[in-house]
Amino acid sequence: MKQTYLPKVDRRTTMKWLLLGVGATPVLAACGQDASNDPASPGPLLGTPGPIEGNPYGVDPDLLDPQVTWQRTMTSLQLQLVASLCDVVMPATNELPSGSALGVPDFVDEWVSSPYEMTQAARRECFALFEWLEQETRALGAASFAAARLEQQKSVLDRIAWRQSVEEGLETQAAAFDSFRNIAVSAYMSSAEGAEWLGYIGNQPALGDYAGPTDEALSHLADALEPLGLTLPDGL
Amino acid sequence: MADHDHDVLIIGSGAGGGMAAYVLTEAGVKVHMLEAGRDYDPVAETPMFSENRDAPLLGSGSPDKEFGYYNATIDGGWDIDGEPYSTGEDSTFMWWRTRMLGGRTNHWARNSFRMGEYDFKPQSRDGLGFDWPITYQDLAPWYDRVEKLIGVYGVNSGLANHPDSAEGVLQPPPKARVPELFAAAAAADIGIPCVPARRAVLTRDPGDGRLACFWATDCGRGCNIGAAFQTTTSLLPWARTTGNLTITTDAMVYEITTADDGKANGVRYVDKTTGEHKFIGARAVVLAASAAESARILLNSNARNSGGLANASGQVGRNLMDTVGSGITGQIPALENRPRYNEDGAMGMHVYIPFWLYEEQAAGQLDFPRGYHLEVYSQFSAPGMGSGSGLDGYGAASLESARRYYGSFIHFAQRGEMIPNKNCYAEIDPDGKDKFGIPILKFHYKHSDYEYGQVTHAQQASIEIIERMGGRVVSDVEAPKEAIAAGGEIIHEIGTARMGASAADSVTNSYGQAWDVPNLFILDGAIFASKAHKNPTLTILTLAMRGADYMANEMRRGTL
Repeated sequence: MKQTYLPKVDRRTTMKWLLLGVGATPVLAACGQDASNDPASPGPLLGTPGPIEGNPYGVDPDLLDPQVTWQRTMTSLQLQLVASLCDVVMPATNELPSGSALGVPDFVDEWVSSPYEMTQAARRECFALFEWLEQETRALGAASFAAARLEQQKSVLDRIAWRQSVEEGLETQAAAFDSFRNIAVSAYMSSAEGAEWLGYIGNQPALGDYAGPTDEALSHLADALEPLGLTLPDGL
Repeated sequence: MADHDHDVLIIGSGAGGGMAAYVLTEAGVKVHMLEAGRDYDPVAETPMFSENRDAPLLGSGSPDKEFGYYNATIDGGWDIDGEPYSTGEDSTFMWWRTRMLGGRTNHWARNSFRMGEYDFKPQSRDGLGFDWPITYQDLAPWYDRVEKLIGVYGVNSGLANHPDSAEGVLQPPPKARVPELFAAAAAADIGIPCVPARRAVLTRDPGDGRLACFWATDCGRGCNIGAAFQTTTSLLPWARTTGNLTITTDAMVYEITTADDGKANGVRYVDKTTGEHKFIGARAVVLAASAAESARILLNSNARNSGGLANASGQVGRNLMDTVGSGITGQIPALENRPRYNEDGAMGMHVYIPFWLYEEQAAGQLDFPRGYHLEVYSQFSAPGMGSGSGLDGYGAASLESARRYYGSFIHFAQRGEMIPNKNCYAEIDPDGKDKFGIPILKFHYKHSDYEYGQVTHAQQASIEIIERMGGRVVSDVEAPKEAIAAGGEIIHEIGTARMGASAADSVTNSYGQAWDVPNLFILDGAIFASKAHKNPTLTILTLAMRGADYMANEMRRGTL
């Protein structure tokens, strides 16, 4: 039995907008859209997401105490689908936890629920993608994408996920998956665990001169230059 | 008797205004500074070390904070609510503004390249544009003083038109990182120099309370240890220490007033905290609100019915220029899976490619005038939005490709000189006012074949370096008209009140002193007579130091 995904609560997602008493605000109006005609409205399979509520964080937010100032809007069914999808895209390995274990679904929800026009295209694309994934896995006999067996999920994804083998007629879904993957994997790599796995070693103060490349890095560079007939420059 | 206890009003607190305040107050002049934005204290407000994952939307740019959540731009951006600007037919112009003490010095890239001998006499060299009324030699000692004061890392490369600093002025540059070394090796092999960059980042403690860079946290957020230069951690607090500086923030200046003798006698501004329109008098005025905003204030001032203040020449608002910008990105297979180490460094360029073809250009071998430089960007940067872009498929293998390609991309950003042309100017839009009731600017902007030719050359040079690195170009190589950055987009707008040798065709003399209004000094990018490819802030600081020093001397002599 698959576990139900539970949203994670962290400092960034404390929903300060509630504390501020920011209620339903005309966010879609700010996005140039009519709330009564939300083009992100999905089909019936995953339920109807909430309207975008909250405010943009503004042009002078507290940089030392960042807060998300809008509410997440995905339905619980959408969230479960995204959690499953995240774990196919970012499965647990012996080096890293899965996407859902690192809270990536919450970030996807944050992104597609944000009150900015720039994220609304992703909202429409992603919600339509989720409906399609749900529909296609059900067509394979699964109760839902979230409840489907991994091979069922992959057989649907394989029709859109690989650049060289997108099924004809599914280009829109493939583009939507590309958007989703960028949002989700960016969040994954930005987590402390993801950044460490990627190999980002920074944001650490050091006294004295900048250390520069390690001997290992310089040796690797020398090996790269040699077959190209290039030599390490002096004075840099 | 004056109804104020200051001598000089300074409009603006960025590079020009900050430097003017420092020089004048050090000279004993009482200064009152007016800043349109709010007060800002980088020591208390800078999000040093904050992680992208802790910010909304992973800290990526949004319409509220276009350069990212943590960027030190407050109440600003390409558009400011209630403070519109318009553009002429077939024109695109982007105007980056910020409304905060210190202005754009809080988040600039800190790239600090001196203009050279050729740059001050461009018209004499190739017949295009307009000569400055000064030579490089006139400005050289002032560059030394500014670089020493603010702290600039770099070396003397000895290259043509890229002047050396005096001995002991520059701070040691940080070591180059692997992709920079790689690019330098490839460039050298095809005859293109790649040398340490110059940036206004301290690498040695200056002993004045600021600290040397500790090699972490993006300079664009501001720097609460004062290593990356901004006026709010240096010139302004130093000026305040003299006891001669008063600062009023939230003061939106819209007019410089003049007395019957034609001299400036004060300014009018909107107190944004109350909405009141106020007047404040002065013995002299320094205008340093940024090139476009300064032109707007002049054009809106009391002589507007005759074309604006200090505008007998008709040059106010004209000669609008910005740096020519384009970029090419490559991916270098040899950099895939390279060994990790801390590449944050100075959080900006360690090396760059200065223009190297002056001789060929003089010999008529190039089909474009003037120079450009290439800024080199590649490093293991902090993960954020975009770290998941460009992947294929899903699963562990897909993620592994992200790790493989991490740090293997390199970007070359062209920054080039633009030739002034009659199609580029700012004027008052007769149909528009901002929320304060102040008439707004209308920008007109068109590039010419000079700029397009330069873009083509920069693209080809960038591609050549990438290919010599064994790499492939991964960005679109667009036609120059599409590849070129929009006017204003590089945020180097200058020229709207140019200096010159004659009142007939310029707005100020070489000290920024308005020909028509002798107690009005314009000390920001407006007074540039040309737009060299060198990033302008260092020269703004230098012209402001020289102009303010002259001003203080004239005040001492009683001629102001």
